[in-house]
Amino acid sequence: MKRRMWKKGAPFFLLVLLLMAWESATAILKIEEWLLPAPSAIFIEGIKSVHSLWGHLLSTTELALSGFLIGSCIGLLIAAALHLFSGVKDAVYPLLILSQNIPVIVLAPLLVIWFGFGMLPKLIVISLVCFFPVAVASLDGLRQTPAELKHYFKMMGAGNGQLFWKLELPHSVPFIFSGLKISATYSVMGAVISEWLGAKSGIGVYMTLASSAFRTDRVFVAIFIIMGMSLLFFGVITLLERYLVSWKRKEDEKHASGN
Amino acid sequence: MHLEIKDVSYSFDGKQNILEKLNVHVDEGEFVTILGPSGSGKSTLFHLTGGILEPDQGDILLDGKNINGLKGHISYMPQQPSLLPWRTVLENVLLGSELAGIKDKEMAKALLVKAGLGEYEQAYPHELSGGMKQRAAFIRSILSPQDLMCLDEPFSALDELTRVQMQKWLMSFWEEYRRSVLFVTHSIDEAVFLSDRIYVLSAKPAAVIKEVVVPFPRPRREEQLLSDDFFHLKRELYAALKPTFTT
Repeated sequence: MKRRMWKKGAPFFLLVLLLMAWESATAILKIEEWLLPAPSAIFIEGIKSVHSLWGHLLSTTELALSGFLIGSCIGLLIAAALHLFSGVKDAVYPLLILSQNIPVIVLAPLLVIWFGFGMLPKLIVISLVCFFPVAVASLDGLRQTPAELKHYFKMMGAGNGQLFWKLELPHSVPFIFSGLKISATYSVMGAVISEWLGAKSGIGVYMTLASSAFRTDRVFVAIFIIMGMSLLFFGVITLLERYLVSWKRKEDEKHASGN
Repeated sequence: MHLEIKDVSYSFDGKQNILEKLNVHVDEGEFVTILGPSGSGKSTLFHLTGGILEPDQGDILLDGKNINGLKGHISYMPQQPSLLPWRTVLENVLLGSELAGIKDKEMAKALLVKAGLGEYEQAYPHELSGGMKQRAAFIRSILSPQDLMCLDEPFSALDELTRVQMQKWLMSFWEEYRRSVLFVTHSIDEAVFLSDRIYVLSAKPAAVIKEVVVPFPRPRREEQLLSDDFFHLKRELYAALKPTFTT
């Protein structure tokens, strides 16, 4: 029981410890506020600007969510297509990896030149970072379908459609969720970066304004907000996963307990 | 239902035959066993019947119709239970019929109760023991609409005690429903206890070297396992099998 509490609480305690060290370091070493503000100062600033932050928060959330949804759907579609047409896979897979090697910071201004300041270039940036983890994880899941199950389906005369919808896709759901969790955290980062390109509101905008005004405390507020949002997204996906793949969790628990 | 496998030959590489002019038939409501040493091409015979392989020569006829290379004509029970871990037991036993485009939930529930799995309807496969999983797999193949059931060494992965229990269970279940069964095993005891007729296969290339009609009345009882007739038949089959694994 004690062990379990420790396991759950440990990251929290560690975080508190770090913040305390930070707080005392700024006080003892008398670090200037514009260089590194104390956590308490950041917190106070955050509370003070709740009203103005709310709008930024909403538009970033909206952007991140829609980019995440689009990116994940594209990732899933790509995985399914590559799996069903295995000849195409060998040709396309290296390109997918290359797509992740394009520095987003460089690509983003180009996208603005091509598509203007609207939603489109921003969504492209987020989708580009979000589709990849989902595509790779789903592809693994589809490919790793146990051979004996496939054999049963084939012997029973199942067609390719049945094989995909009734066997391979459900089998890869836990894999898809691993991809979604990574994408969910990336999507917030992607949204912030895409807002740097030029947007009317958003955490990215707030951050750029703060940093050009040397309001380091506000930059940190933005950082903490981004972290919080990522954690929240991650948590939501984890909850969904628990609900949708409960069979897997029970199976794993059984293996862990050695039965 | 009448299955006839006629002069079927098959090889993987075009050189060495796995099956050589094999002749096997199964009549309506008959329990026929293919007995052969491991690696004698018994599973290949099933893959041909299931249509995922096509014979090089010969015909596989179901009710007189050639089903060479045609899938979906048999109900199959593999060596491994092959239950889908994300489906409940009830959804799992319905899978075979679902693939054929029908679903009879009430029948499935009734059979699960009969198989002693009534309480496990909503359980997931990992909650079942090995024997229970195989029972579920058997129910799944009974619920599949095809007339011929092909059982591929379904008990070989179970421990000895469970296996004997499962054989008795299968027998009582089958005697009630009387589907045509083509059963593959390498266990002589299992073959004699369960079958109406036994084909003994030789090792590579597999051909029928002996066909035996099992004379014991049904319903079969465990006591028959210890009778003189049983031992006599067992000796006969062993003598036929012996050259296949000593050479």
